Amino acid sequence: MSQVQIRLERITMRFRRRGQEPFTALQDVSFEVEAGRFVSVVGPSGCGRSTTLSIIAGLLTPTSGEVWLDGQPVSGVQTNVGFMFQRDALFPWKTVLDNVMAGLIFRKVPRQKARDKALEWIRRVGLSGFEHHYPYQLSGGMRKRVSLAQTLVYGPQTLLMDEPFSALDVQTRDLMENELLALWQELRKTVLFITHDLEEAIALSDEVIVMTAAPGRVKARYAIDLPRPRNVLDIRTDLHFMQLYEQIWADLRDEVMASHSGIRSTS
Amino acid sequence: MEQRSVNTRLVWTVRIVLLVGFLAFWEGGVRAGILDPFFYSSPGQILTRLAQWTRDGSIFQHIGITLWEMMLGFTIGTLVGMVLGFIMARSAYLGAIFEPVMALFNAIPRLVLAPLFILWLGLGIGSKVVMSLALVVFVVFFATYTGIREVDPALIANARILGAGSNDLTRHVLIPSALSWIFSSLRTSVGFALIGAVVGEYLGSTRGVGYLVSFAESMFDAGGVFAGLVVMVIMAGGLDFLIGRVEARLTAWKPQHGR
Ligand SMILES: Nc1ncnc2c1ncn2[C@@H]1O[C@H](COP(=O)(O)OP(=O)(O)O)[C@@H](O)[C@H]1O
Ligand SMILES: [Mg+2]
Repeated sequence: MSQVQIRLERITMRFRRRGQEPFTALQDVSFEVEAGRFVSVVGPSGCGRSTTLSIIAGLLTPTSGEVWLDGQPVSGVQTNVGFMFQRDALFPWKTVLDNVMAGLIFRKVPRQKARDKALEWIRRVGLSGFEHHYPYQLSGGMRKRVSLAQTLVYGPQTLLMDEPFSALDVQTRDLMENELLALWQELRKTVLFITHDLEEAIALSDEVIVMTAAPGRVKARYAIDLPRPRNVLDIRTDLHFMQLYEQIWADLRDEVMASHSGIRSTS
Repeated sequence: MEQRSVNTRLVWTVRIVLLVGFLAFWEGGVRAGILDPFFYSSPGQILTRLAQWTRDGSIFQHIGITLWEMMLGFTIGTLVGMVLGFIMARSAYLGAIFEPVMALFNAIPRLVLAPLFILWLGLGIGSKVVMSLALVVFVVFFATYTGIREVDPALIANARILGAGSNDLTRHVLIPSALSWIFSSLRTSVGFALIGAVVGEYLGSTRGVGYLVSFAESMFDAGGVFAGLVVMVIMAGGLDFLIGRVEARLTAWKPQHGR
């Protein structure tokens, strides 16, 4: 029997704007993610995906609705989650080692132990030899690896990932996706992964949630029953992959068009 | 854009030729009677004066005093600027109330306060330290204030999710961000510290490099004035070199550093 790790109940988020009508970014969003599952959220840009992640992490408080994380109602910033930001959020003045250690130091783990654990994770993400580099000295892909290590080093059960690979070139991205899958296969964390790339969503996930153009609502949910372990490069030519892609894209396309023309989707 | 490479040896050769040419022209002009040494002195005269100051050792005392005043002014000014900047950046109300006040004070040409400081604090080093401090404090204040206000919100969010409490946030995010701004204004603040000390000395004192210039001036000794200026240029150059070294070390995490 599987237990629910993330639960959103009728989340509505309205942003107040100076001199304008409040803007509804999310409208009655409900879904849940079972422990150990890899779930992706796709939707047109601006549909409130980043907002959703921030709410789950407790960085934002929803206007109404409730969020439960690991059976506990979310209030305030959650420290039992890992969060990978869309933009780089590494500390520019810390070396790779100090960046990866940060979460442990904040948790008052003794320095020597924190260092050993950080070094272990730096090795696991393939960055041995770069411990004393600063973020600016690393490529985009390497910085993402540091973020991943920084996030995993303190062992959060839930990973919230906001378009983590969208800024990478295609080759690096494929590589990172495969490595993420391998890590996930081994660690069995619950992952909520945001992307605008449907191929990426299908290739990685057990389930894909499609959101509507703003105000964001859950439009549809698709189970991705492709066998694991997967290789994101090979899977794209799989017949079933292509069928799923066709099916979900039909849904997503309407929303992307709606968000471009500014017309609100009614389906 | 294409990277232009410069031949450093050529650059230095031209620099030295220009300098030597300028000095030769100056000396020659004086000797030929075109330039009046009463107003323009001459390189020879200046050298003689510098040699004399070095021989009797008096110049080192004056330099020492000026450096000491400027160091005190710099240190106290930096500390006060950091504390004020930090408090105002962290408190929405204090920031809103006092930021315009600080900007207003900053707009005053503070060198005109020097006579006041001398009036209040006398001819000793106190007035010079305060003058120097008054210049430094604003530079550091605005650097700290901006550094903390402008810190990337994603960094703060990341730190908090990584488990940072409010002290961790201050220590690992806010202070490093402020320090990076303070370091990048180090040249300005150290330069201001020197200016403050020298101007204070010039306007009223019995010691220091500024006093040397003011004394020579009162004796209509152009050679002494120029010699004092040369000493200041050397001091400023030396400080600039030191700062370059320190800066490269402190901002190793920044994309381009040093020169
Ligand atoms: N703090 C905020 N204030 C006002 N509007 C916001 C704020 N954050 C997000 N929004 C708006 O909410 C909408 C959803 O944003 P976001 O969650 O970032 O979308 P996505 O990540 O799906 O592209 C956007 O239109 C954005 O402009
Ligand atoms: Mg987003």
